[in-house]
Amino acid sequence: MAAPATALRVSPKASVKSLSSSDYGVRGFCGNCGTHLYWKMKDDSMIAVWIGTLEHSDDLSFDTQIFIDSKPEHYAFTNETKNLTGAEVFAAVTGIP
Amino acid sequence: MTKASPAHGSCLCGAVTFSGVPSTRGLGICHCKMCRVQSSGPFFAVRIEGGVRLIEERGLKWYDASDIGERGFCCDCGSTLFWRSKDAEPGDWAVSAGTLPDSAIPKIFEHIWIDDKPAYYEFADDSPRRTAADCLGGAPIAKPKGVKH
Repeated sequence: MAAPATALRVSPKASVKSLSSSDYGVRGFCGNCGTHLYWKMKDDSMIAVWIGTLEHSDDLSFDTQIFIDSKPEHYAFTNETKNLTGAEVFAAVTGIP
Repeated sequence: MTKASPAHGSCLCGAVTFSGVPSTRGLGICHCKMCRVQSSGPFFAVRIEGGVRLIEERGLKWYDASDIGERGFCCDCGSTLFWRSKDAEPGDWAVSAGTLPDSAIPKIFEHIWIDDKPAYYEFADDSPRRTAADCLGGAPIAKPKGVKH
């Protein structure tokens, strides 16, 4: 689930750790149990929250897969999804084709 | 049966690395709520023949997750790494498939805790689906610690 990073309040902050995972992205996780919390842009323009942390997260629709060209062979979903390659994701975010 | 070659696994940042021979038995996918809270998706578990051999472990942290299990992750980058039973032999851990090279990951052997799986995703393979009761053989379901949903 994506939103501007300023829309998210995290408490308590003491257990949240983060990794600068690329030139533009940060991955947040719980330092106590390893639960994945979010991925966000370094400029705070967007934050995507990992759904496992949300209440009532079992009642969702799964309609998009990104970085589909990185998907390994050993699994596939039967869901009909819009599939974007890494290049298509970058193009959509930057506006540069 | 062809013996698989040793594979090297790693978290995202390299603070935990290990080696081992992935079991040719195949990949087990756990759909339980605890796994899905931790990484927002099912846990893709690979068993390692003879146990995991840690090479670098400065980032390895174990979380006491339930009555029966512990979850290993990297405390520097958050990568989900291992699941082990509290009475496991050293190194007898289920390894998160994502830490291994894609070429070393076996085909899906089974799905477990299928009764915990939400309806919004479905895998395309036809391997057996086993419930929590199937897996535990009548033993009590593990009680998770921490937040419950």
